[in-house]
Amino acid sequence: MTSVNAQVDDWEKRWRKGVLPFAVLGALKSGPRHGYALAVAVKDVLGGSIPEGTLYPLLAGFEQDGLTSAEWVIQESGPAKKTYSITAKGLAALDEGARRWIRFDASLRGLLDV
Amino acid sequence: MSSWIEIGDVQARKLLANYFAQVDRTLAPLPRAEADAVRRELEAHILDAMAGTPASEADACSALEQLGDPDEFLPQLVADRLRVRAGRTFGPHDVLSAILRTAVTGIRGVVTAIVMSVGYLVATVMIVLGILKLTTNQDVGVFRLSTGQLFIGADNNVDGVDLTGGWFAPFAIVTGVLLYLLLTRAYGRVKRPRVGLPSNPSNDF
Repeated sequence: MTSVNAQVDDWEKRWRKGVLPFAVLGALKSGPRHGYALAVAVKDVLGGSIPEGTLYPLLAGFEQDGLTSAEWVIQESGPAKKTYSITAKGLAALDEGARRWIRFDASLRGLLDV
Repeated sequence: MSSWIEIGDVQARKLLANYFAQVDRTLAPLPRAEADAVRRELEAHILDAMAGTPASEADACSALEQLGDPDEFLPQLVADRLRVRAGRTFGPHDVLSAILRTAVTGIRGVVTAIVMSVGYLVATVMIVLGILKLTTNQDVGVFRLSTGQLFIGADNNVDGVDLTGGWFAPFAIVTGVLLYLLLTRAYGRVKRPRVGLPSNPSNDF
């Protein structure tokens, strides 16, 4: 039988994964970032259970969907870095997501009575 | 430091070399330029993660552990890129590569691959039947057999009435080609969940 902690760990992993795309777009709202900087910015959302590499398929998908754009930026020292920016479409998706999240959060709080 | 190859610690370098060899293997189905771009991005990630550390074996191990197993997070990226590429080029080789890669990205990937394969099989059968009708003396098309049953396909000697006639060949070929084009266009645009840990089907929600 699964322990309570193991069960809640599983739930937590699922909801962290669920909100990750939203968190990544949110992190880009404040300005362009490269992959590692994004991983640091969403570290608390990733928690310890989701590998940072998970961000890369997500970022590739954002680019395909036009939610972000990317360019290789030459560094003064170190290798060039692929840097991501949020697009107007990405901002619109984020704003709509934020509105829905607030409603969702309010509903859930009502159910959880917290 | 512009590359992990410049790291002084031999064990750390060996660890990184093994990791990026695994990355290269996973990215191998992609065109060279695309694979190189993904690899460079992951290399920059690791260098950033190790910045400010002594770049020891333990530091490399920790950075790689946080980045994760390439076999866990890269197959989805590879499958997505091949799928988009297939939707752009319509090349049978690209389509086949995309289907094969999609099939290893979890339960949804398997289902998508099966559905697409069935669709392509139908398209191929239509085209083959159309060509057979044009080029051989076999009975090809839709026949009502003397037993009253319908027969669709090709046979050397069908005991029945041909319901389709001469227009079957162009109809079958055009339908097959259109089906192939529509399927490939739709496949290139299909939305797939991009967050997940594909090796564990229970994570596919």
